[in-house]
Amino acid sequence: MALVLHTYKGNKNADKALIAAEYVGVKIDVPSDFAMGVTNKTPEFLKMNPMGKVPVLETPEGPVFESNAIARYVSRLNGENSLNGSSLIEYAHVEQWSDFSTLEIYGNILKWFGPRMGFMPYSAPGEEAAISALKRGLDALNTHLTSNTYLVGHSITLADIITVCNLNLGFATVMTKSFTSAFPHVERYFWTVINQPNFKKVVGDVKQTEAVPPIKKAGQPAKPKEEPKKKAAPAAEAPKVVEEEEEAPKPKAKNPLDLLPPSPMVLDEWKRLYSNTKSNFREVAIKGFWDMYDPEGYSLWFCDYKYNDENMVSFVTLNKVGGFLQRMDLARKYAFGKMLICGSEAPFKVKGLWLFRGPEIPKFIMDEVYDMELYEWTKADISDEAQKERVSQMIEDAEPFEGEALLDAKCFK
Amino acid sequence: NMVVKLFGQIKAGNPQRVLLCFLEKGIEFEVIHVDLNTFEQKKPEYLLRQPFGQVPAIEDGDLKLFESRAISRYYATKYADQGTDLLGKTLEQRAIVEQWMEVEANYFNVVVLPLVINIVFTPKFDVALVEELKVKLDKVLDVYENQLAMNRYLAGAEFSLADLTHMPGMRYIMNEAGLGSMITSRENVNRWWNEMSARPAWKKLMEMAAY
Repeated sequence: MALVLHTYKGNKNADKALIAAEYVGVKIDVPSDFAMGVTNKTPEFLKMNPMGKVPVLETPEGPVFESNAIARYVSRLNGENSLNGSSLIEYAHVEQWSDFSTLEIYGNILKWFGPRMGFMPYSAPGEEAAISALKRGLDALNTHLTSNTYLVGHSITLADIITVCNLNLGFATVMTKSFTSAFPHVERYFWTVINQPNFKKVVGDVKQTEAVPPIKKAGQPAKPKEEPKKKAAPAAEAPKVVEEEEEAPKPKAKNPLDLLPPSPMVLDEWKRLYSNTKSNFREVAIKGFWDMYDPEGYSLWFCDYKYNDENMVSFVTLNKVGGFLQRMDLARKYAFGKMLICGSEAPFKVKGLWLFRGPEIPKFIMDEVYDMELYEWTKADISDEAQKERVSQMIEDAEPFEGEALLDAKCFK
Repeated sequence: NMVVKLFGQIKAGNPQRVLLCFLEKGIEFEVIHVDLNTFEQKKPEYLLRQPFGQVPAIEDGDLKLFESRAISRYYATKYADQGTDLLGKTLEQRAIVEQWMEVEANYFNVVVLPLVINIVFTPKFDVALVEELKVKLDKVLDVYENQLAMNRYLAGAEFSLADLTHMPGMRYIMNEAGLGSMITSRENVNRWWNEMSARPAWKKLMEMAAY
């Protein structure tokens, strides 16, 4: 039986166990059908954690709750590693910093963030005390990190995983740059650790919040415990990040694309044809695409990244495009895209081809996905043979493309 | 007198590399001033120490060396157990330090040296060349920005000779060459420079140089 972690997507406490798993080389399944407020209220779930909180880890020998305990368990799987220090005193220091971080950092961030999100009653003196205590903790941390790159010893330990995940909650919700600039070593520590590959795999791209969330006025719908979690909003939207509860969803407007006249083209059929065609791609998939393409019900768009001169490092460029496609997740029902990263050396050029439902780029995509404005968008005129051929080439990853080698081609489907 | 003699000018970049190494390691030294303004380094007596007529050169008992990077490596190795550890604790870590030292020589210095010579020391410098060099330096600093996003210092968690070897050149960039914005516009490179230049050994060197 594999390890199963029950949590909503983007839970910074759940990240601790997942990052530890990357370090020790252990697989943890995270079921995508977890519904916050629903799954964790079932009798089966409450048997695993009577508090009904997340994350909870199911192991072959029974469940574990409390994110730090889960991370500790994971850190001891798979034999020797350095996550718990390499001596008794180092182990003590790992526990020291983990406890410190939970009480002094996480505890105070929660007291600042929670009332503003409506999870606890707001009081100005309460918030002031929490911020003051948080600053005291960050100051102590900053002093330690002045002469230490990591919390314990000379490499990542569980103390760093726990602390950085706790800091991530703060960075994402209430700790703006002007707040953290008073703790420059904490800043350096946070950014260099969260950019480590094993962290990045789990947390993705991290952005620091630009503002403290406003205080929810009394009477605002804040019945988070009863509401089922919506499809996960992209993690990049920092003010919406929720620790354990969920913002009451606004009454969901019907997507205008669902109200368009029906089209003979079914996007999922195209996606299936694209994915299943293993050979003779041009004769089977490309031909099939043009056979099923409905220019009334769909539109084709070319996009060009506006700042290609920034694309100096290959994996940074690929990450940028990957991030864009992650944020497009909300459009999956209505879009298909190919992003080509062109060139055999820096600066790399990012060029895309997108199929959207409807005659225009859907407004909700332009509103919700900030990457869209980083690209120049032009509608493809398929009566022009050259443009039609360009569409075909971009779907099939033709190489060379416009005279250049392809560094990579990413597909959104 | 058993103290190592360093021949050079304290305000000059390459001698600073060696001086900084001495200061980090707590190695006693004596500076024998070679006046670059009067081209003392091109005189026959000095050419015996450094055949290309450049500073620094050292004399330590019977040992005579030139090339600041070679001198720094020697002293960092000889005094491995004294002062700041500049080469890492394992052979593999040293390899990573050496890798970034090579980067300094082959990618960073090849651009920064002509930039500094043109901007700072040449009366009517080649404007097109300087612009071209700045573009190249931008590309190099982009690589550093990425490396320093994940690493506190170039070779990893600890300050090493790989970082130290950059400091004299970085100082010119931030000061006389007027290119500080190339550093301050890069969050991680900026952080790296701020941390390095706050080190006591660097502060002592700046005191000695008395700019």
